[in-house]
Amino acid sequence: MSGTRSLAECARLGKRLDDVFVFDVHQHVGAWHPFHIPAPGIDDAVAIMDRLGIDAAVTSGLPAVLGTDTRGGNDAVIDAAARYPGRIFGYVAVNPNDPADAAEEVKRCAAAGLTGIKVHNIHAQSYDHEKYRAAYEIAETRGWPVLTHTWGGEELAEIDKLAEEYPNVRWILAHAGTTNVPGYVNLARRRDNVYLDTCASACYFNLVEKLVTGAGVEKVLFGTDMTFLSGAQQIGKILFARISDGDKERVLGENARRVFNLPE
Amino acid sequence: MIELLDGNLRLGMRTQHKSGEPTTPGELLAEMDRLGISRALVRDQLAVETDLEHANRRLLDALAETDRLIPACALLPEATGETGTPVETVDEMIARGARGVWVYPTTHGYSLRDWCSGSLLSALETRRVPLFMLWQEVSVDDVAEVLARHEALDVVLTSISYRLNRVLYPLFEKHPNLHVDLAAPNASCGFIEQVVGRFGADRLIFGTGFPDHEAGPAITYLTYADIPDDDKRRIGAGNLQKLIEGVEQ
Repeated sequence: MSGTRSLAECARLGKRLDDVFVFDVHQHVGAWHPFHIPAPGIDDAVAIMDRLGIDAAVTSGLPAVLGTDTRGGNDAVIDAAARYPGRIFGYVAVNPNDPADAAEEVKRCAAAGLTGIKVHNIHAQSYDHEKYRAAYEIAETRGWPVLTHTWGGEELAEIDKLAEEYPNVRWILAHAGTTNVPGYVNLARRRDNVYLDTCASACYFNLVEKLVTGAGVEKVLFGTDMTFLSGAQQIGKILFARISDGDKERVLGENARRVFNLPE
Repeated sequence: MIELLDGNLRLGMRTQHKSGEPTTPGELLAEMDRLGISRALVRDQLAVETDLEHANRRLLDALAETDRLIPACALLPEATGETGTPVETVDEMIARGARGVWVYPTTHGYSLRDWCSGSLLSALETRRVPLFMLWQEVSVDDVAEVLARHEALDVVLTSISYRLNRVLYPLFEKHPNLHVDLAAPNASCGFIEQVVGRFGADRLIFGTGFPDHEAGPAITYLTYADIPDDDKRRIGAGNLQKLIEGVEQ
């Protein structure tokens, strides 16, 4: 509920979610030119968050996550978090192909206030790569989340092993259910420290319901993939899901409090 | 609350059916009631994957009892003689209540260019029947030619990728008869606001792609857009209503 209205009613009216804690676990910042993004900047993202009622978000730098400028991309995240304290938090992106020392880069960014790790297998390396492991060691010590790009393939088995090896890391699987829904829900149900992020351009019939029922509502986290994707479009799959408003509130933000060590 | 008229709703089961997906008019209406969608233009999946003529008959029969679901038939070009002449077919389907046409050139193995589909496109253009197509079914160059050669034909590209803006914007610029819907994977951040600002709200049509995709994302894409309420009303229902009313009976 938001005031006297159900969350679906708010969505249908385009009413801001003022009375619900909404936390976006998956955003990006930084230049990106392989395709056009009409509202690409951190100011655009925060304006959209204001309009929808998203209280806070965790972002990562596109040039660091998907490109070759690890340090520059991470610096963009540090800048964004400094400009919007309490609204924007940051992941350190780790590129296993970058010759620079991964652990030193994570420590540098941690000192600047970033509080999680982002990894993407676009670099054609296993999530078991030694450079990633250097970052996971730090995440394990600090109890950080690691946001992993996934698409339902063999990376799920890699993360299964890593989740056992690094039990203090909160492993977040982005784009959960784009393919292989059973693979995602079984992994999240089996491992206490594995969570599912809902962001994806498409949402197939009954997907959110399957994630919530299969993995347990406490394991599902709201993500938008802004500004790659529209936050307004992404929130619809949660607000209109065939689950209770209490469960929607858990997915939208309450679960993230625990994963990101946020105050109640 | 703005009215929603869905231009992209699917009836029938697909080959790779997902358990629980609505397939009947009653099930589609129940979902529309849940989401506050007043009416919809409906296509039949049977036309895509197996029997187009049977699909059109089934669709027109099934929707004859309700004015909330409006049929949109599927057509083929005439060279192989499978579905009668385009003029006869279009006349008949309009007489039976259809107010839109879907084509699937890639799946059905033909070109949408005039050398192959010209008579079909001209028949639709003459009667002002809006033409719908999934963007994966056509090349952008084919779309550009159709828009240029048939200026009175309203074309609605559906379920577009969020990566298409660099080809969409020049097409919007040159062709006022191009529209796109809001169905996933259309999820471009700031797209609605930018298209409305640069090209006008009449270029966008509310469509969900349900049940291939959940309808909720298309709804919030529009209801939370940073555009005036009048533009939301036009996109939500007014633009498609105008296209439907424009069909010459």
